[in-house]
Amino acid sequence: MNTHNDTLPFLGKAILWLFLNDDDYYQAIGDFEEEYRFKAETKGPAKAKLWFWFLLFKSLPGFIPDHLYWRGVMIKNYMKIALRNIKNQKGYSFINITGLAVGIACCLFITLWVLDELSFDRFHKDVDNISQVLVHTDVRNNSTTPALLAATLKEEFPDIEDATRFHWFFQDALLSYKNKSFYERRIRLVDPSFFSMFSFPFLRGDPDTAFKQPYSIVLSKEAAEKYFPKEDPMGKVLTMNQEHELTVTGVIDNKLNNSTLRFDMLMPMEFRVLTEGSWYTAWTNFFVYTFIKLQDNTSPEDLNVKIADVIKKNGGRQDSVLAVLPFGERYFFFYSEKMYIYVFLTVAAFILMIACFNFMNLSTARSAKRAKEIGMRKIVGAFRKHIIYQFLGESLFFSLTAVILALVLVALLLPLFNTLTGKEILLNHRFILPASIGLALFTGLAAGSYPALFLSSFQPVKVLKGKLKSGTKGSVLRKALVAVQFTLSILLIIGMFVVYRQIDYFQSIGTGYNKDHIVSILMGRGSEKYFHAFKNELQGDARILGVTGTAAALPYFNWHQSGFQWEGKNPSKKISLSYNAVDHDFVETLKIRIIEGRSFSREFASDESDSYLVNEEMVKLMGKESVAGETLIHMDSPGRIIGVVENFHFQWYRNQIEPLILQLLPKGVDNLLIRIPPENVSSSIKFIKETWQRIIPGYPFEYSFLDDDFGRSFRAIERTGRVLNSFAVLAVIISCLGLFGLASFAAEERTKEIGIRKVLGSSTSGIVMLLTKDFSKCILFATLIAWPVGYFVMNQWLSNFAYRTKVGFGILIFSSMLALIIAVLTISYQSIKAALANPVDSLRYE
Amino acid sequence: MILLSRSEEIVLLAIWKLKDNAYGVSIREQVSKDTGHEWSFGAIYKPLKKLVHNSYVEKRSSEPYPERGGRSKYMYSLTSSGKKALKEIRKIYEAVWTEECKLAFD
Repeated sequence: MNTHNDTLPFLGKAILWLFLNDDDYYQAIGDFEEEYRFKAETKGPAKAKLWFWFLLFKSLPGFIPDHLYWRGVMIKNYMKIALRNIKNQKGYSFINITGLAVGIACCLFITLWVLDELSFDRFHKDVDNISQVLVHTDVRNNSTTPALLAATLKEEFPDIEDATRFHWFFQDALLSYKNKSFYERRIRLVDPSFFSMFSFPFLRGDPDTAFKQPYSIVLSKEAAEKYFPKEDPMGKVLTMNQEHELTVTGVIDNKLNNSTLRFDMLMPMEFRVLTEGSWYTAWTNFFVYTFIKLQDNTSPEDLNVKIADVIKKNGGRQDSVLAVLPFGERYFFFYSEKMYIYVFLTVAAFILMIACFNFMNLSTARSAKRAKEIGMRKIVGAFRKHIIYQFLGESLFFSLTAVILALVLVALLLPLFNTLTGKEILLNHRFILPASIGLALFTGLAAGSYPALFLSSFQPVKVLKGKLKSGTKGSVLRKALVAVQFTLSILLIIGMFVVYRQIDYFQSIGTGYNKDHIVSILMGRGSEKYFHAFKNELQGDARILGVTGTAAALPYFNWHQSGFQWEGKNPSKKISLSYNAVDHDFVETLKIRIIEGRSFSREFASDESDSYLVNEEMVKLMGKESVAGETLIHMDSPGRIIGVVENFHFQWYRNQIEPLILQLLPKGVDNLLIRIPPENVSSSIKFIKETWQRIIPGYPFEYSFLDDDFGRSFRAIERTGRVLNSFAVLAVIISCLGLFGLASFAAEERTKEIGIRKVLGSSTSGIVMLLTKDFSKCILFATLIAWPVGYFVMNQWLSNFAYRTKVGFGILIFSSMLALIIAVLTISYQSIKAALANPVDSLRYE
Repeated sequence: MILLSRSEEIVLLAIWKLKDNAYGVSIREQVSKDTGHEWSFGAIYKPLKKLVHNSYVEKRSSEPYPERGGRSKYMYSLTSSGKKALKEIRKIYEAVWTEECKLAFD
């Protein structure tokens, strides 16, 4: 009749057992079970379970004080013994506490990092109701939408409470106040409703009235300090591009929180509509972000169905479908990857496990030293659970000490961590205290449970008779734990190497053009009309090797055009092709190889209107042997392919090189690329600057080097590599700390054996081998597990990249060798010490 | 003079009311019924322990019962000093709660 359904949950029984003495326990469990069965029969097992847990927790306050009262005396005794043990065995205690502290510090760092990642955009009050509208077309997905969309959506759909647009200037704007002028790259244009939808905190000004006038501007705190260091910015007038006068109507603190909407200044959308109207009324132009705020209880899925064809109905692209992206997910959709969160959480779990295993191993290894104490306690009347309490308590004491140390470590190393990860994390996060306490409890219980169960199982008779062979019982498990520790360490080392190899690979495959010694200048708005004059002045000087320009900036551009048609292509199939408009000399200046045909040339006047250069991928797409001279039709106007360039990378390496079409833009482009000789860089820059100031006065001269821009794009992945690197090193250090403790324990254990061996003629090296052998075996075993796992996991990661290296056998072997060498070095110190000891000393004891 | 805590008094009375059937489950039921709100086991055991300790109540275990998973019931019964204590409490009540008090709080 004792079916599964009518007995109490095991955990509940265990809790009762821990808190009550035997007699009370049997009474309580009987009473609980009787009612539990009755409830289970009348109301069903689920309700009964609920009742049980509810009543149990209600009862606990009644049990615990009673329990504590009776244990108060013992706790004092336990504390005394624990402190004595720490004092007597300083080495072990040090290893235990530092290992745990470093492990917990790593976990805290990773917790902070993860919380920071998850906190993006969460500070907006209505974040759960806000969504971004995305446009999916046959050829690609757009985050930009037509400008009229926001107002139309708000008008036509009652589910949508509010809508705002978010838009940027295509070029830099020159802002000036009195004699101060700066290029502003991050001015964003929004609708007045932006401030009611998003919760950016206003330091000055009123969000409701800020954008009453089209010629107003709201500044970030930094921008306000830049232009008005000692003045009150409110009501001051900034001049834009030397023609528009803008009044400052507010100051926002946008540095406080993690936000995906970044800006230095905000201006009303009205301003743009007034200054260049017609753009804004076309359903065919996709250039603004649209954010909508949904009514409460509106599901995005239902809305997706309703709004899907709004653009189509209004005469925009017929293949476009609208869909919403919840604003809270925007960070991971565009800026980061959830993958890294899982990666780092896994790393944290690994490191914590390694630290806990150290604790378990050292505690059980030392069990012989405590065996007599446990035997005595049992004889005097301790039950098993009292011993369990004692050792759980001890490990909690250790873990609490470790957490305090870890917090100190985190506080000290946080600036370093911030530089590593490129974040601005502060320690005063409201989760830091609960997280520390949680970690202390978790590690204390997780690391302490096995030693507590193991030690409390000693039989007093055996222990006191001296029959317990110290440490042998748990030695298999100890070795297994060491093997797991090193498996995890080797996995982290493999991960670290593969990430580095991948970064290296990226850099080694190059770009396909010569990116060194190229000065890149982004010309400001209104200055592109000086392009040709500036170019003419530069050309011909010995300090300049070549001048060209592009419409979309290198090293990476993402400009797509569809509507190209060629012979043999199915006209109904839409293909979106990468596209860039360039100046003469583009191919020559960047040293891109021409494979077929010729480059753009001034000798052919027709090049300026209807000629195209394509890359090798495009040739492949067209499916022809030779394409030079082929006709390419764009929007019904025919053009000619004059040449084919070798593939070069114009997109981030995660993507395959796409088919590319290059066209001349004779009226001038705004991204200048100037090749200079490798020697005398500074005199070349000086010459360019002087020419700039002569030709284009009033516009500040700002430049960068193309290879720097290129290198900057590796930062995110390099950062991940560096973080992984630090944690892998820490994991190895913690593992070795534990190994060091175990090795010294093993050497101590076998002192007599070694003495006898030496007396009988064993060599020093033989003894070192003897002591090293056992642990080396563990590490070899760890290797066997780590290889396939590491290989599989890292290949998974690499499959994210179109251009990727391989997880070579070399990396696997090298990682294991590294772990093995470090481990052997760790052990050998103890082994050699034991092997060199004089056998007389070790044997004289008796 | 014997002074008991409120919960001890309530539990003691419940045991007296239950006569031969006073054990954890029934006491909890009785007490909850008397006071009109649910008592947890923890809240019952504490006064019970104190009562046993001061020997107002006797505790002994019964035959094992199948519905308790083969465990015994722990039966409680009043000792003579327990009965005396109840009488005395009643007397103290009468003395403290004069007619005037009763009227004032009705």
